[in-house]
Amino acid sequence: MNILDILRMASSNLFRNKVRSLLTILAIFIGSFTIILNSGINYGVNSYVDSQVANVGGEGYLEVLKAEEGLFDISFGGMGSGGPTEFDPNATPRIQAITNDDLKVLRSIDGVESAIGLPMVSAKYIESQTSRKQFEVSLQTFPSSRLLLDMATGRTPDNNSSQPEIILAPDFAEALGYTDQSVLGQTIDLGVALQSLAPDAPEVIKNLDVTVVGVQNRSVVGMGNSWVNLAAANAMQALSLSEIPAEFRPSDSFFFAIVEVREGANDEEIAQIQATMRDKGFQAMTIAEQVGMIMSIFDAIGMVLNIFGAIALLAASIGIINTLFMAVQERTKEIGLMKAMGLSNGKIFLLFSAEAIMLGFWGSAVGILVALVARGIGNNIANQTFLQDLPGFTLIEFNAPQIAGIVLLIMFIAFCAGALPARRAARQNPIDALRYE
Amino acid sequence: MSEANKTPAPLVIDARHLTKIYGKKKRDQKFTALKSVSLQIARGESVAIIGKSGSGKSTLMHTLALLDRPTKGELYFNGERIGKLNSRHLNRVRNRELGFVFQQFFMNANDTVLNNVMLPLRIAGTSLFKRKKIAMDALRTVGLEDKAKNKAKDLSGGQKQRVCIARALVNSPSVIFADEPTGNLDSTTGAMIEKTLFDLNKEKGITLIVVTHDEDIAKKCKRQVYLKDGEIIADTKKEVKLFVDKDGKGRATVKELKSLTEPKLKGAK
Ligand SMILES: Nc1ncnc2c1ncn2[C@@H]1O[C@H](COP(=O)(O)OP(=O)(O)O)[C@@H](O)[C@H]1O
Ligand SMILES: [Mg+2]
Repeated sequence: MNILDILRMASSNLFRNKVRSLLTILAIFIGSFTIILNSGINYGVNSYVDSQVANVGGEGYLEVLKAEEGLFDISFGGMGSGGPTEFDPNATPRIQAITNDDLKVLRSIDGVESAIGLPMVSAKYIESQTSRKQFEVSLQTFPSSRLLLDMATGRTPDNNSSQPEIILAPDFAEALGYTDQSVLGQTIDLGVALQSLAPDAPEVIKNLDVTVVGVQNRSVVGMGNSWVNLAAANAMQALSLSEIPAEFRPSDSFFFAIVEVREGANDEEIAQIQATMRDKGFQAMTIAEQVGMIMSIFDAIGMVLNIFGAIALLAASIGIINTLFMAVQERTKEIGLMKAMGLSNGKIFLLFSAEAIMLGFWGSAVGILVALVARGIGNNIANQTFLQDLPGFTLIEFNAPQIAGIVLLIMFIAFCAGALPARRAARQNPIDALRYE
Repeated sequence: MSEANKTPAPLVIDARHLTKIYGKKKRDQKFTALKSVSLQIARGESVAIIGKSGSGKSTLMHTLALLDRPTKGELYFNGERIGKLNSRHLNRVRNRELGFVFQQFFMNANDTVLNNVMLPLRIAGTSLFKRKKIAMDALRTVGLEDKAKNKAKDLSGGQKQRVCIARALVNSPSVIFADEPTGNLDSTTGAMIEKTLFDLNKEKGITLIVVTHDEDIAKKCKRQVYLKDGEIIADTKKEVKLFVDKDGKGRATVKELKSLTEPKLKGAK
């Protein structure tokens, strides 16, 4: 019997017991669908992160906190694992401000080119000088010229300039009455709230002129923030403290520092620098690590999906074993007859293995089809909801080699599941099989 | 026609002192189904193996048909010692040289008649075109070419057994083994099946070995081999005097030997 005949026969044997085969295929489908979909999400997220990280250039600078180890994780992971921590009056605070002395320590580290404290900025509103319209705005200080943002127009803010500069988050140009092009070079106002020592004083807001130098595309980097340069950040801070007598102003301190590493440092050297900083009580992260951290939520989902898929496949394998044992039982006489007619043990084994592999194939084929449908629906929903602000992020993306790999893997699992029943069929004695009642 | 005047035909089957003991494992009950059976069958013969139920007919047939291995003894098929063949060669002999007709039909009921008949060719790896042609020829031989496209389950018992004969024929075997081929059929259809088998023997020269407990069918064979309790007690091809009673005394005539199986046979009639 040649291979084509074996496949044909195996296939018609599957058809002989449609309901049973369909149920087994259904079980495989559930597992394969989950895993295929998950690999699609994984691929979509990874290619987005890759494109974002490639866009931001990433490795040239580090964001540094003065904090206990693991703090970044805790801040992103919610509660952490231990629940509330008991208060200890003698413990050092988990996060401390970075002082000018700290900056000196950072600068002294081998491989560090520069270290600056990054002022925290906030504005009550952003205001157009032509239309006088005001909008809420979320601001961030531009950390380093090494951060390559995905720009719609213009350039990134220049931290060496003494002129206050801003780049706008997407949609702001239009809201302020300009286009992405015409807003370049325009001066707009940021409303800065003045701090006061008097507790009941009414809030006073003063405008600060900043020049728009660019407009950013939507991205996971920045996440809807507008970025100002150092000059603007410092001016805002000075303005907000302008009503406070000099002796009451807080000394220079920063929430985090930006460290630029030596130009062209490779991953290993950067890791070395990070390790040194950790020893000195700092936590340093690259932009890629930050983006990766935001995306780690998808990893968690992926893990759950994969576990679910694996369990489903395990159940499906048991289904395959069961289906084939039943088939061997039912076809005992047929097996005996074919052996009497000279069909070899190896071919009998192949015949049943082919059945198992076909079950795996059909299960994963249906899995692919349904996953394709789910991709369309899932991406649509995602783009209209939680990915609305991240164009270019396709949640579920399939790539052919990966899916082919999954299908082959499932067919292999099916083959393994079928091996036991197939072996039993192959080992049957033709006479016992023919006499079998 | 006298056998002595013909040049002896070559032996298809040469069985020497076959013993079959059932119960492989130690704790199994041992049962000796064949006791040192020797049997030579020449090409073109028609041989009936007769005996009561449980006398070991099927066991003997299965052993001769290479479906089961004897516990002791030697078996030659077309001059080749079977015990020495590798499984590939053995499968080849089964596929090319042997045809089977069983009391139960062993057909794939939901498949077409043609596909059922083609099964041995499929196993042999014959091309689709060729196997269709050969299978149709075989169906024509048994007079069922118009049923080729029917489902096997839609046929009558007699038709099913003819399909089985066509399937046994399709590889142009040198021997056809038939185990109680008419056991499930009424006497008229049974007679038709017998005729088909004997025609094959006469016209195509296929060696025919029929296992039966029915004296009437046995009579239609040129040669009868009588089996009792796993031993050959008579073989019409040989001189009667060759056969002796169990205890080695006295000689029996064929008639006397037949009477040993008589009670059961009478009852069956
Ligand atoms: N697989 C087996 N295991 C044990 N005993 C068996 C087996 N097959 C047949 N027998 C016994 O061997 C004897 C001969 O059986 P069989 O050859 O089928 O007889 P027949 O075909 O003449 O009716 C019977 O007593 C039967 O019970
Ligand atoms: Mg029998």
